[in-house]
Amino acid sequence: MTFAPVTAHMLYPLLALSLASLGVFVYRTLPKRPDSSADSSAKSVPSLTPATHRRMLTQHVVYTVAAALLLAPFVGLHLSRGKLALYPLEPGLTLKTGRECCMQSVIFSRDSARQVLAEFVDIIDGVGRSVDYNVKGQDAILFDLGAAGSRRGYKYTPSLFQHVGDMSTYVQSSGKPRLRSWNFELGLREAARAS
Amino acid sequence: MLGPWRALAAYVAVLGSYLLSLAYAHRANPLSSFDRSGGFRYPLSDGLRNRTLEAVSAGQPEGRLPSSSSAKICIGVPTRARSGNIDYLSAALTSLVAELSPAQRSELHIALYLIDGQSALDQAESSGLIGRLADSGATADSRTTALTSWLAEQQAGRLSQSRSRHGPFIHDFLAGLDQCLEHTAADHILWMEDDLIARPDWYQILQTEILSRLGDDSTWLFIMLFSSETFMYWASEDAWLCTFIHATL
Repeated sequence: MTFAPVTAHMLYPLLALSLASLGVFVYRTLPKRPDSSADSSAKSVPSLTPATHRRMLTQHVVYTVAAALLLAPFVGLHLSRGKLALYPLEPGLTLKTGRECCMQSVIFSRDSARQVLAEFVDIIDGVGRSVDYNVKGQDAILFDLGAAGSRRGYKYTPSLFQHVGDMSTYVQSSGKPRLRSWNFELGLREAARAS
Repeated sequence: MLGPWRALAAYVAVLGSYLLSLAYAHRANPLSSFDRSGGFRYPLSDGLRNRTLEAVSAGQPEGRLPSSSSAKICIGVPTRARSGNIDYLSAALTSLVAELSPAQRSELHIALYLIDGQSALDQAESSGLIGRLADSGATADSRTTALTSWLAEQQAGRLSQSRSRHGPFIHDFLAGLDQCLEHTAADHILWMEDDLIARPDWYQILQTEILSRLGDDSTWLFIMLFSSETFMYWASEDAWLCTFIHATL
């Protein structure tokens, strides 16, 4: 498997350059505050009225926000762990480090499954540790169990499975199930077919 | 001095060149859709993925499964009904078994846990889902083990507390594991959600690249076969723009 992963340090010069450019842009589009005490007749340019200053300030904010949004791909690539990311996932079976979202399929040995089941029962029964089920799902708890017992967790890349469900079984407080992936087309088409 | 619009142009140019260099760096990454070195290609859009799903559904096996008591891997699949009668389970189960030889299929035991109760179990049996695609099914109502009985109580109580976001999923996870542990003697227990489809070569990869590599190592606790860190696709960058927008907002 030979490919050249893009590494994080490649980001820093480009990030510095882009931040500098963004800084220049923000500075140069910042309108100067109107000076009511100054003698406008002494200037070669017309004086800035408060109304014009407000309009320019609004434009400045809009430009700055738009420019900052352009920075999002840099930040996204830096933070994400996908295959287009700065830290591409290593293909094959790798040791899982840290807690990463989200687990939709997992395999255990029979003994491990028994251990996991017993430890989850203890947790739910309130033995040992306390878990807020609004914060931690089964994957987060599983990673904690592995880390606590120095037991290894692995992951396989690319995934052996792919998601097809758009309509989650998770029901929001409004009583309506939520959509949870961007693949809207399938769910909508099937819903239309079912009705 | 650099004017504002030239500064902005420089900024966009840096951004663009960076993204292009990233795509170039991934040209020989077989996991990337920028890969130009050949190899397998997976669906890169919803439309292609839907066609794949339809092809999977069309490949459902006929006839009842032969009874097998020598399963090496038990697959526990908890399943709930969705609004609008949307059915992902048939596609999920079909994708698991469609490409397997009879010998490979006999090494699997697919155990359903039907969270919606006896009526869902009856429907799964009458429709042939259990017997044709899955090997067995159970519900919390059947109280087949002490754990399922206990889980049913927890589902009504602690795990289903209002505002408990993950409680029902933890219940489903444990129920899926329990079905396999109690009803088979399989060496490995695979748990999966009911709205996934498997790669055609999933079983070969599981055997040759995952389980055989770990061998007799008894220190491993779990192996994740699918996680959302690669988002919802086999090739994550299919959704990278959506991901950035989603993450940004």
